[in-house]
Amino acid sequence: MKKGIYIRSLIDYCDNEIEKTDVDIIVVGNYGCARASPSFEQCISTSKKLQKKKRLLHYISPKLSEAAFENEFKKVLSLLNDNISVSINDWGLVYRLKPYIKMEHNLYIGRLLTTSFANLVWDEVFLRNESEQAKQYLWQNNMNDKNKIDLLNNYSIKGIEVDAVNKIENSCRRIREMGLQIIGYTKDTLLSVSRSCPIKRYFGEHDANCKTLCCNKYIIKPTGQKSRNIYPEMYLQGNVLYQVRENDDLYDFYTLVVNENYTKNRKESI
Amino acid sequence: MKILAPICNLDSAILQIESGANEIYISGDTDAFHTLTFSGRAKHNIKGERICVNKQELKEIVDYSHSKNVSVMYTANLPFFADNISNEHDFRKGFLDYVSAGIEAGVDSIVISDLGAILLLNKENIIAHYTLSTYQETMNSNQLMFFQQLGIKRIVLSYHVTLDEIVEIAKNSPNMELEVFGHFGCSFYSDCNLKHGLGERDYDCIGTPCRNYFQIYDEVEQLLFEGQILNFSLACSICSLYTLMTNGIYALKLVGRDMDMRQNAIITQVYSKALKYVEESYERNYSKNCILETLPQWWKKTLCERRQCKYLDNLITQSYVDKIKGDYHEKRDLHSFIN
Repeated sequence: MKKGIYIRSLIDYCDNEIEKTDVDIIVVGNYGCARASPSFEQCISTSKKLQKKKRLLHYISPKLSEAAFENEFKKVLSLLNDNISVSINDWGLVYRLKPYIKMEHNLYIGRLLTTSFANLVWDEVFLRNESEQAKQYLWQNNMNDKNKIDLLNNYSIKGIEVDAVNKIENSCRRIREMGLQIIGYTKDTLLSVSRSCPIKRYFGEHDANCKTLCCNKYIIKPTGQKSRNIYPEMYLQGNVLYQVRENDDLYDFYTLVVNENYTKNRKESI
Repeated sequence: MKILAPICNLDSAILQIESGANEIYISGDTDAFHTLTFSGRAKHNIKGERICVNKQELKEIVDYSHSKNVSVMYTANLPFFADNISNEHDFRKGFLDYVSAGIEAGVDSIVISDLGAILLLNKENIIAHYTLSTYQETMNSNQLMFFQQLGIKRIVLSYHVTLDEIVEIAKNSPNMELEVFGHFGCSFYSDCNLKHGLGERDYDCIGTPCRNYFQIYDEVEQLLFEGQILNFSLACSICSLYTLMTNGIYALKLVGRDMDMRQNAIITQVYSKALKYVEESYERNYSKNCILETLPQWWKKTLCERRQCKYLDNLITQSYVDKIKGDYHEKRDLHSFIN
């Protein structure tokens, strides 16, 4: 299993960090904002430096608005042509890329398109009266579906991303048996992404400045005690809400990616 | 442009149609689950009231609606679909039976969301008018084309598109029926893992998580402020009806399958009346003034004064990311990426 680390920006990712990193893959990108994503030039430059250290760069493309679409399409295609692997989070981009995708491209379906009831914060509440069979069905990853996998093969997709929660382990095994690689994300998983950026809104930043704020981490706690008892630990970065997770058993993924916030907080090596 | 309103039984169908709904949407029941259905909601709302119908009730609703020239959308949009784990418990067959029940009752469209559900219905050659649910969060024309090639005839756009984007998508998609959110909607994209309305009860205290009050701390846990930082929901599209209608939007969706139907009917009445003004006057400012004059006081106070406008400029729409073409990177052609 390869080891990876997920970072949101390449701006502060300096040569020193490339030198000392002990992971195989640096995963970079933003699930919610094309504007906050690293530029094509930053990706290429970092990828070249990583290659010298026999490390790889993997780019995450965000959910796309009509306005962001064409530039992101060109960027993703160019990154693929430069041997950088990419996860995409928009079926429109999958469709747009299809005529250009070659077998050697490493294209993955991102976490915003792969779902499971196991990812829901209150899945145990929703499913408490369901049969064991229904629970096991809904706790799969939704890509465990032969028809979907046939379609993804037709689009030359190499694999999928999932949040590494242990309830989906069996379905991940079946997805892998059907030929897709699985990139698992652990130690802080995605809770929600919005088009509206709370950081931009609450700090009153205009577009020119907001990019600098969205790498900051803002911890969110419900005000009421009742809510505090049922909500998970959460934090915001830009328009992406994360859940702090650290104790799921780890399935044997193709690549396992840890969120940089986890290592930063604990000053641990992964 | 049609007004699409939620219902949960025959009585609410009659109420909504009398209030001016041109289309209604409803969930069916299923034996496959105890609490859930194959729609995006549970069988009961948080108060324990039943919000889905059996086959016979569905048939009565369809017959009544058709007698009033109103279409019925049947929700089969549980945002999850996968292969069965064992042959003994066939959830895929349960889904096909659920959809077939709708078709047999004569519904006008089946609302689906998961890609696997669409692929299975195509493979089984079950021909119907299919609508892609907002759970697929369609925000660009290419996603629309992706699902169009899979046989989708109508698409519900994301909660979070701007009026300019709706106009552009409509221009790019002349052969697709487009449905947009008219009243209320979610704060997050549909992959949200703070989902609610899936069978919890009021005593579970889940409520509407994004409307909750939160304390916001910085990285060293210094309290910065307190507020509804996750609430990005906007309510009203009254002042945008002219633009939506004149740009060919097919339907305006009002939400609330699990809410109080008497309150829903009042909202339907307001939109129905407003849409009539727009259709009759066909002139932007005149119709807008007429609409504003007839809005109930509570509407003006809770929605207009708080700038709860879904498609107009306000603090929330200003905070949408990736709105302006070429803003985030200089606009460039493909060749400029190639060294």
